Amino acid sequence: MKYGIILAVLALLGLAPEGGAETGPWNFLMQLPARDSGVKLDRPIAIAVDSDSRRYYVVDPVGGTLLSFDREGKHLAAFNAGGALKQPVALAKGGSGALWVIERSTNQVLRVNPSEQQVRRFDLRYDDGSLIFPARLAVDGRGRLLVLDRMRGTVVRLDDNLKVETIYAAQSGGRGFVDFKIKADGIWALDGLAGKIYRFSDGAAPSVITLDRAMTFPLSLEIDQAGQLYVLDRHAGTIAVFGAQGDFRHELLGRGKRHGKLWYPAQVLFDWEGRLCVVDEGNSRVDIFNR
Amino acid sequence: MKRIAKSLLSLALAWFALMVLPAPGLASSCFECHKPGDFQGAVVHRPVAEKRCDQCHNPHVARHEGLLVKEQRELCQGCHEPLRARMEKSTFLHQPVKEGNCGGCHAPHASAVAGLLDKPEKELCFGCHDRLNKSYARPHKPFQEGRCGTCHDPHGGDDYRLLKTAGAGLCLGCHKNEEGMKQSHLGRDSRALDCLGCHHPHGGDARGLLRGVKHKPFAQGNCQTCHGKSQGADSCLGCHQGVLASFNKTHSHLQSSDGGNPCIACHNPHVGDRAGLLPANEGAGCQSCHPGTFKRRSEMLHQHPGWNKCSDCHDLHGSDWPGMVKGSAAEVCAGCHERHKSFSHPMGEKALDPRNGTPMDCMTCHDANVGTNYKYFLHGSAERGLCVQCHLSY
Repeated sequence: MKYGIILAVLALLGLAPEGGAETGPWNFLMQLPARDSGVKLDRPIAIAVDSDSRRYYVVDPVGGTLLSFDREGKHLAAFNAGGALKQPVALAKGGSGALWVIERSTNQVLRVNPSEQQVRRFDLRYDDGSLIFPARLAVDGRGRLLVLDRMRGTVVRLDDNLKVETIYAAQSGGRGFVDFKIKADGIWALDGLAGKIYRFSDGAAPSVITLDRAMTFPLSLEIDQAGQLYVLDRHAGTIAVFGAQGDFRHELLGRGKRHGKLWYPAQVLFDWEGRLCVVDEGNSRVDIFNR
Repeated sequence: MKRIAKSLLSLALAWFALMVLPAPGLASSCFECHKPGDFQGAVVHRPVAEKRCDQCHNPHVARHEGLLVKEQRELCQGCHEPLRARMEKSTFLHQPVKEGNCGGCHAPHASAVAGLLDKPEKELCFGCHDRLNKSYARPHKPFQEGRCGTCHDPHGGDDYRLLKTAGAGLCLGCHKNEEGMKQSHLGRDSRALDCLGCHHPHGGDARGLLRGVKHKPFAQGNCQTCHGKSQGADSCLGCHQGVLASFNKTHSHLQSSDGGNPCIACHNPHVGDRAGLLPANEGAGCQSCHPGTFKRRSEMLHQHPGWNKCSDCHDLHGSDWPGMVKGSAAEVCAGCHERHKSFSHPMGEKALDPRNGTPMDCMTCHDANVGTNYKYFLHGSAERGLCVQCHLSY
């Protein structure tokens, strides 16, 4: 109570620092890279995890770099595929040790095999020849590549020849997907502007969840094992947590530059242990929380 | 005994004063000083007509200017309850309403104009919105006649332009020839059309008040140039292929807004007010997808001047920088504020922000995008609050 009054007085005087971090049930575990590691990120934009080797891969488009970290957050390597990566914006771990990378400078998807030092480039198109503008990607349990197409606001699943196999789109009135995640019960996609989350499972009509709280710039989505929905609000610097029916429950973090705050965050992702990873582009770091 | 008689006499005098002398606040006593003629007009506010000055004023003393018994907003809404309820539901409020300044538009006692407006509607609206006071070769009739309230709700609404009705419904309220309308629009359901996208609601030079800049195929009547092809972005990229590279940025603005062609989220494929087939009011276009930014900005006391011209700082197709700004904050701000480099706080690699270890730039201390409640849209008070965020021992 006393602390609250002091903070209120400080706020009135314009002296209040950024408020304390709201982390709810989450505890800060580590930051990538560790502040004293000597490793520096410029403007990280995406993260992917390899659940088998328990590694984190962070995408930093400045300098075209992919950085890997072990489960303790120790920096392992920086990698630019022999200069083939100019401006990577997303990454997914594929089979046989390969990495799928979206290269924004050419709008291509690259298949990078670090061990064979081999890079293959692919232009993605629909069957009618129209262009796919890849923004996010993931590999499903059967090794199939899924890509978010910003041009149409859809998620497309590609076959082994990278031909469009299935298109997942919002219903009429949708505003286009901005993120998606693959889970055991289907493909989840966020229509940020419409404030809706879709779940697609093969052979069934999509289920649509309307979020009951408006956000300023919803950009990324995660779903925990209890079915709670985590929506990253880039401009607000928060993660809004919703129940499975889209009912707002609480909000994590907040806008700012201190530890525990976010400044233009870009992505949320759960790792192999369900730890919450938040890519914070504006603060040049990735924060990892556990419960 | 004497004391009791004195008390009774005092009570009797007080009763006499209350019952016989004019009650303070009733017009008869007010008009002994205030000229009754100043309170007359074609339209008279009901409390004035009923000579109940005390409904709004305290004749002795008050906390509010004009001896008002309550703050203006609270006072007016006390009687005009339905208006209050409507305003509470409105997404956008007219600035005087937001400020509770009912007297900004209304005369509280009497007026020659309906609705107790302070002046005739045209004069009143253009008093603030002078930029819109233009002459057109073909003016829209309500605009020409100064009947702004035909289309706009002067208190508030769910559209940032304070339009009374969303979509085509506003226009179809007067333009009732739906069949003719359908014929002019290739048989489309006129209720589904975005009239204001192509027609300027105040006036124009062309027939039908079409906006001034026309897409070449539209001007030539070559509809099939675009409509014969895919309805996606490819129908634009077929001619504007070179534009695609401008979207190849870390933060690309290429985002389908309706599952269709992302280009038409910003560009009107037929007509516009300026080059690029864009609306004259740049911020209006941006606001449709970024309402949160505009709302937050409207709540701030200090904003960057000219904030409605988003393209001054943002690259509207894409940028490698957060917020899609045209470059680093230092570069973008220096475009206008070059001289600040000579006297500002150290910035760049030599001055790392202790909170996150990143190089300081203009936006470390200022929020030029949304603004703040502090002077110069600083993130805190320049006297101390801002500085102690980094200089903890200050």
